[in-house]
Amino acid sequence: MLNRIGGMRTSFFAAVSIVLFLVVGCCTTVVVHMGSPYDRYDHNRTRAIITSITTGSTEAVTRVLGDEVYRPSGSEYFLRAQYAENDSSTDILPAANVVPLFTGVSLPLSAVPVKGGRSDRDDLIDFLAEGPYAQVGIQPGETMGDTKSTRIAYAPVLDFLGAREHLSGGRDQVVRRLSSLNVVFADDVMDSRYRLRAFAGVLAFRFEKFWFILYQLPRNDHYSRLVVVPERGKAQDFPAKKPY
Amino acid sequence: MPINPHDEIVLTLLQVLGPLNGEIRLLGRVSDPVIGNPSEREVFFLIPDLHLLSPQRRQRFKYGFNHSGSRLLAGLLERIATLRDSWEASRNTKLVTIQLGDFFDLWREFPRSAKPAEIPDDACGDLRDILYRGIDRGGPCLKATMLLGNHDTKRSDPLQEIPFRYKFFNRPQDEKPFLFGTHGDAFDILETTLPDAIEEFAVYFIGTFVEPNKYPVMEWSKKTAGINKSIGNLEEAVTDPEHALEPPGGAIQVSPETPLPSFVCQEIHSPDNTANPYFQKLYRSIDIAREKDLPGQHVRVVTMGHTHKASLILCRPSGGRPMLLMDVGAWIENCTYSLAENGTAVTEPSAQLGVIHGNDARIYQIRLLQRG
Repeated sequence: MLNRIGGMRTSFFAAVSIVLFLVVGCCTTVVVHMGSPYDRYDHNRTRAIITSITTGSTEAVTRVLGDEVYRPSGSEYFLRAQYAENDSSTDILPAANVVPLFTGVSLPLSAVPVKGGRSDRDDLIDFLAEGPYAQVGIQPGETMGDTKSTRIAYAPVLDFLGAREHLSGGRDQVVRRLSSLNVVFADDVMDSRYRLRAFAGVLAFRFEKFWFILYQLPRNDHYSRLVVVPERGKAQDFPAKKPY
Repeated sequence: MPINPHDEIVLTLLQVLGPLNGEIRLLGRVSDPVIGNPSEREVFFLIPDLHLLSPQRRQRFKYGFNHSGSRLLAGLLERIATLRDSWEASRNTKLVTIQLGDFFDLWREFPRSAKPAEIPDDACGDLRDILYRGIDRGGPCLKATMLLGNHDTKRSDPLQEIPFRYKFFNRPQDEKPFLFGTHGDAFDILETTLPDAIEEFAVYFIGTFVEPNKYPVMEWSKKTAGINKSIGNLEEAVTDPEHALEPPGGAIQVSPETPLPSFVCQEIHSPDNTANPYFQKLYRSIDIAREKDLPGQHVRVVTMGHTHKASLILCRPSGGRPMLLMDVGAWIENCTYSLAENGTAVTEPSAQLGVIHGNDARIYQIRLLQRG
């Protein structure tokens, strides 16, 4: 009798566990967080940008950005803003730093080299090749990863992003096309740069070790901007430490 | 004689070492076209395993980063950063710094949970600043490529502030890199077969008996079997190990004017002709890169850390592909080697650095001589 009661209890707890597992599993949402400018690939890092030297100035300079642009104390590259009146701060930080907020790499992804730099596609490959922990969204590293292996591994996605017809037709069609590439879709995106309502559509999917986030502007017929952020899983990856 | 970048590095290091009664010794050198570097522009500055710990943990494990009291390495790197800036301004030479992994020792720092972010801001702050953090704080910074070592993670979680890479190649003009770097743990059979948790358990709970580069209990017991010492003395033997380094002809004192022999290394003619357990695996890995037609196939120099034993091994098979293995050593534990002048063997804290410029690769030992 006691054995029977024990068996019923075991079955009951097993059934409850399975139900809980299913409920929790079904309710888990996958959210992509945008990450810092260093983790986020949102522009070709070898492409020079043009910016005014001072507010209202007609004189402009052309520059390729370095990591120092985004430090809290600001840089010589861009303007710093101060509060109009004194505040309580005792540190040396400005009230704000004027820094570029990139809107994303243009889609379809271009393979045309830029003057003095790499094509958008090749620069993205260079970023991916440095791995998900390298923090090289602003400035490429002084060493490099295995760009050829990366080009091969990410070819399905890179080719997809390079064709306008793949990016057109609305979310459902793009999702259907992407589904053949062994990607994982996110349920939500937390964009630290913009309100997502500024866009007509945002679609995020993971391939290998990175998330690819596509943006569609209102009255545009295709996703036209791309941001890539790393998936921070467990760090040790012995195969990735080998030269092949 | 015009001063070259190697001489400038040596001069810069000696500016710090001179007042400390210090000097530089040559542990290894290959100066030969076999290195295959077509560029004279980059100077690769290689920093091996440091295993930094907070002072409390250092006391608990009775081992640690050498010369921490004098801030020797931080002082050297700060001066090197000045040289880097002057080279950047001249646009002729570029200093590329690589730390070869095991920067922090998170296994020893944290007993249980993975909380790397709890390391105090000022724990080894000078080295963090000069290697990678200074760029965000407006200070001097080498912007080093930081390789991920096995001790740089806790249960596979790394310290988020460090921009880790798994490996690196130099940036060539033609997609044919001559240089490849990896921490070395991917070629260590213990590392790749035992779960991290078991290794970390062994390191932490038998901590004072386990040398930093040997982890599991079974390996430790093998080590103890080979040492005929009481348990008390054993602790010292395994936490303060000595690595016998044997530069051919003894270690020459290095100064900018000193002519150096072109080959101070172990030369072999077949990849299986060395007792080094990593050489053959690394050589084979380059073969695999060739079979897959990857950039690694062009690599002539492989640099690593992990073993804590500095060595330079040049393989030149007859009619085959050459490879130089440059294990840059460590800044923990001790090394033993003989001096070139009189053959006297010295034992001192490991403090090694690697430098490659053009077709000239060197490993230095930094010495602090006793005063008086």
